[in-house]
Order: sequence, then structure tokens, then C-alpha cells
Amino acid sequence: MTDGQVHILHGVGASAGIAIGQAVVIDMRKIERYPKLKIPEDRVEDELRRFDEALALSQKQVAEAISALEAHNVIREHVLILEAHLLMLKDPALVDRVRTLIATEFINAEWALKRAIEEIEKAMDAVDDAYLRSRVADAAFVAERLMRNLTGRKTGSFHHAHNSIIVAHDLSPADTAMLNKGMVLGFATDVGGMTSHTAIIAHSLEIPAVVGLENASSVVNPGDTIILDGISGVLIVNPSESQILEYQNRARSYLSMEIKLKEKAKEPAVTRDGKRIVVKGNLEFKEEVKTVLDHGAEGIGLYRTEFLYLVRKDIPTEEDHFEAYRSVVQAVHPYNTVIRTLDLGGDKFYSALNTIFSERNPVMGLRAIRLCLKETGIFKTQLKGILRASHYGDTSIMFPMISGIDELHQAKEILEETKRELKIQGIPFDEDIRVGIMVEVPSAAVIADLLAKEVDFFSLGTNDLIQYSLAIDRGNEFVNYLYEPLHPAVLRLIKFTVDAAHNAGIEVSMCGEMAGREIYTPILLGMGIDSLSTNAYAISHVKEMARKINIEKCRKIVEHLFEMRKASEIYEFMTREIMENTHDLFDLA
Amino acid sequence: MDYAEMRQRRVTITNKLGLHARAAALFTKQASKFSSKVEVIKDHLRVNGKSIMELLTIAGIQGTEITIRAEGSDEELAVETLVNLVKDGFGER
Repeated sequence: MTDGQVHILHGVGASAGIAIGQAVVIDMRKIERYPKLKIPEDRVEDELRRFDEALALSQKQVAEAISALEAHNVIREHVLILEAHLLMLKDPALVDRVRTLIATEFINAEWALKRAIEEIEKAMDAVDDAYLRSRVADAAFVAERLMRNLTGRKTGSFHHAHNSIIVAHDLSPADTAMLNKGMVLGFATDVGGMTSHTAIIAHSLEIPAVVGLENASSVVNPGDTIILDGISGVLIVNPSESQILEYQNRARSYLSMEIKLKEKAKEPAVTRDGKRIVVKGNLEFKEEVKTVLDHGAEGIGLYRTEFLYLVRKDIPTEEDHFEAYRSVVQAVHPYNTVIRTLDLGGDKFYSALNTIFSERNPVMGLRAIRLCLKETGIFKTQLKGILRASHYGDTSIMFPMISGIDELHQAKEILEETKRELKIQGIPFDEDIRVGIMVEVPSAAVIADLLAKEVDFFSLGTNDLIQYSLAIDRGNEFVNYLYEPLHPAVLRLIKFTVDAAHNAGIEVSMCGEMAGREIYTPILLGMGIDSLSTNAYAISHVKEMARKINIEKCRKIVEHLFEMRKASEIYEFMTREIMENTHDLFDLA
Repeated sequence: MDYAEMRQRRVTITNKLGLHARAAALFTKQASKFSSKVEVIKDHLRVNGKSIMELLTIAGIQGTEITIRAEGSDEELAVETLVNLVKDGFGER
């Protein structure tokens, strides 16, 4: 604990920006230190009352959280989990045990609680199913709340006011769902990397985040004034007056830089040595087109089409597809729009059809192009919609999850069939529509030279490429530390894909998250990627980074990186390189 | 204990996620509606069916066979109700 002292913590800036506010600590980790006292027999009654009060308070907090969630219409699953917490707070295995320990062992409530929980945890340790085990953490969470209420420390999870900066060990999607987003200025977490859930949420909310702070959630007290610097990855606890002033100035210059970037967003990005870099936008809903273009997108590098399938109970018709795509390609024209065909997993798809469908490992199951090649009728309906839209503006088709030549041939054959049908019907479309694939399955990257001869372009989908090639599930907190975009294997796959594309004379783009992080921009451009496609908010940043660099130098950097053996080495090198050479990008002095 | 006076039935956990927190919560809630004593038995483990924490300790993953046992005035209905809850996969899917 900081006891009002100034304290500076270093982590990784996962979302840029500066925030000054009050800490709201969401700490679900164990309280390691608690009073451990023997009590005289005549204090037993008092101690029992103290425990009952903490219990009642805990129950009240959870009940309030449940009604708050119900009022906010958040998904039912969160409410059910909290209802389980409430039941645990009424559970005889916990409550009666603590009371018995206080009354018979003459120990204080904290000690009794700790012992009761240790007994329960020991019993739960026998559980060897990963999913059940992670749910068992709920018991620890409940015990933690009780302990906090006993020791008078606040939990704070469900109460936050304006100017809150959320400090936590880690934030799960469930945690962020409970936050009142208008009131949160930023996130600081002990764990996580630049691509953690926290980082993604912060980016989408356009607020700063610092992750990997190691012990922020135990160092920071609830209510502490803190400065969060998402640019250099620093957290200052209980800052001095002068530090606050300094950071207020920095926040102002950052803001003005943001405004300047937005103003320059529509200007082309040309590197110092004169190479024009095309930055496009990723799109999900047609309503986003204006935002993406306003942020400076020169085309749509990825138009996801899953929403068409998810917002309705039945399968979308050809007209549904056509209407959605036409309005986008028209708005984006003369720029190009890359429409990606259905990338859903079978689970979501078939549940929409009310068909029971379950796979042990859906990520590697019947999804995306595999599903389309199985349900060819549905695939053709979508292709017809895309082809018809291509008459109204520059359009390309992209197939997701291609893992080999056969799949590509089949998909292209169905596309040709669809074209023939449209011709017979006399419906106009772009007969030379370009066809590309997502390179996101490692096997596709490895045979990129073979695939490149059969398509008009590649688009690297880094999120899946990283997950698949490193064999880690990003959503699994036990292994997500292995999600390393700079892993030498990932960089090699990307480089091989880019070279294969260029040897075949086709263009290669990138539309994964890596494309939207400035730290990767010099590497990606140095490897020769032709265009980057990213979320609206990152476009101006990536463009500005491209303006600061020299492609020749980036090529040399890439050569140097390929001699390095570890992601951490590469990351450190890049951070240093960027700080030294593009410091004016974040010139906040 | 006189087992003859108790009701008990074996049932297999069918839902994909097993007896996790949410499912255990549903079970506990249902069990608590009955005045009978409710026990859940898996192998040599026997836990209080009205305690969510104890239920979590039996590691009831998909495919686990458990015995639900009740003793009291409404034991028959209790066993029937709880067996059906497990059979229905706790309303999942």
C-alpha cells in the first residue's frame, strides 16, 4: 500500500492517451495480509456479530450488482454468475463453518474465514477439469469480498463515479460489461499485453490503458489520485501538484496532436523516402462507412459480413446481401471495398437455424469457407449479392480460412457458377472482380507461393494466424501470455507470405490487429506489405507513423530482427528504435 | 442410517459445461425449496445438495454419474425434481 506516497509504476502502454483521475480498484486477488488473532471467550459474540455484518453487507452488494445488471439489460449469463455468488454467501459450507471456527477455536473472523476458505479450496483442488476449475475461482472471489468487508477495505467493483480509472489485476469481458463506460477514463492492469482484452476495449472506447504493471492492483488504494500515461506506459500513484500540472499539459498536447492527426488523416501517407502507403479501414456495419472514411481510410480492406447472419433468425436473402453491400461499395467508390464471405463458426450458424450443433473445438471446426463449401446454397446466395453490388462500385471478394489449394479451387468454381447464373439472368456485375484470400491458417502461409498463382491478392489475418501458429487460445487466461505478434515464427510466416505474393506479382495487405498498432508499422512496411487495413481510430496514427519512417531503413531493421530469437528482444528493440527515431510523434515536451 | 427410508436415484450429467457455478447454483436453489435433507454422491464423495460450494467440489464434468439422495417429508418430489434438472442439462443449449 502506498500510504499517500508518490509511487511510479511501469508497464506497457496498450492504448495511447493520458488520464488523471481517481482509482477504482477491482481486486479479485487474495488479500495476503489480514489480522490473525486469538480472541477471549467473552469476545466470541462480538466476533460473530462482526462476521454477520460483513456477510449481510456482502450479500447486499452482490444483490445490488444483480439489480444494476438487470436494469442495464446485460446478458443473462453475468446475472447468473452473480446469483451463484449470492448463494455462496448464504452457503452453510462457508457461513456455518466460519461461525463454528470462531466459536470453538476462539479466533477472529478473518482468520476463521481464511481457514474455512482454505478447506473449501483444498477440496476444490481435486477438480481437474479446466473449465470447472476456472469457475471455482468464483468461490475465491466471494471470499475476497467478505474479507474486504471484514477488514474495511472496499471492493469498489460496482461503484464508480466520474473520473474513474479502473485498476485491476486483470479485466475480463464480464468485468468490463459491468462498467459504466461514460465514467471511466482509463484502465490499468497487473497483467496482459498489447493485444489483451483490456487493450482492445480501451482502443474501442478511445481511452488510455496501461497493462503489465505487475502489482498495481495491490499498490494502489481505492480513491487514490492517479495519472495514467498510456503513451509511455506509466502509472503515477498520489502524484505531486507539479506532476499533475505537468501531465495536464501533456494531456493537452496529446489531445491537440490527436486533433492535428485527425486533420491530416485524409492526406496521403508518404514515407520519408517517398513511398506512398495505403491505409484502409475495417468495416462491420454499413453505418460505419462515414466514420471510417472520415478517419482517412482509402478504401475498405475488410468488410465483415457476419452481422447479416447474426442479426436475424433466418438466413439472409440475396436481396439482403445485395442491399447491404451496394450501399457500402457505392459510398466507398472510387476506392475499393473488399467483401469477406461468411466467417462464422458452425455453432453460431446452426443455432440461428435452430439446429443442434456442437463441436469440441469450434475454432478448428466447421467454420468460414469450410461451412460455405458444405452449405453451397447459402454461399451462392451471398456471392450473388456481392457480384450484383460490384456493378455499383469497385469491389473485391475475399475468402476466409483457406487452408489449401482444393478449398480455393472449390470456392472459385462456385463463384464461376454463380457468375454464369447471373449472366443467364442478364444481371450486371463486374466480370473482372478481383478474388483474394485471407492468409490466416499457417498452412496457407507456408504454401503462399502456390496460392499466390491462383488469386489476385492476399490479406494477412494476423489474429488467427498468431493463434493457430502458436497453438494458443487467446481467450484462455492460462496461456494467453503466449500470444506474441512478434514471435519470430509469426514474423517469418508474414515475410514468406509477402515475398510469395510479390514474386507472383500480386498485392498483399494486412487486416488483423497488428495492422493498427504503430509499433508494428515499421516492421510491416519493412517486410514490404502493400497496404494496411485497420479500425477507424487507428488509421490516422498508422498514417502518421508511415510518414515518419524511411522504408529503406525499415528493410534493414527487418533484416536485423530476423537475427533475433525472442519476441521480447524484438519488442524491446522496436520500442527503443521508435522512441529514438520518431519521438516527435509523441512530442509532449 | 436406514437407507430403506430414503429416496435415491442415479443420473448422468449431460450438459457440456458440467456442474459449474451456474448449474450448481440452479441445483442448490431447487434443492433448498424442499424440507428434506438432500445429498449428492459421486464415488466416495458425499456432499450437501443445498451447498453450492460443496457441489462444486465434486467436479461434476460432463459424463459424470452422480447419485441424488433425499430424506424427509418431500423426499420423493425432491429426487424427482433434481434428477430432471440434471437430465435436462440445467436448461443449457
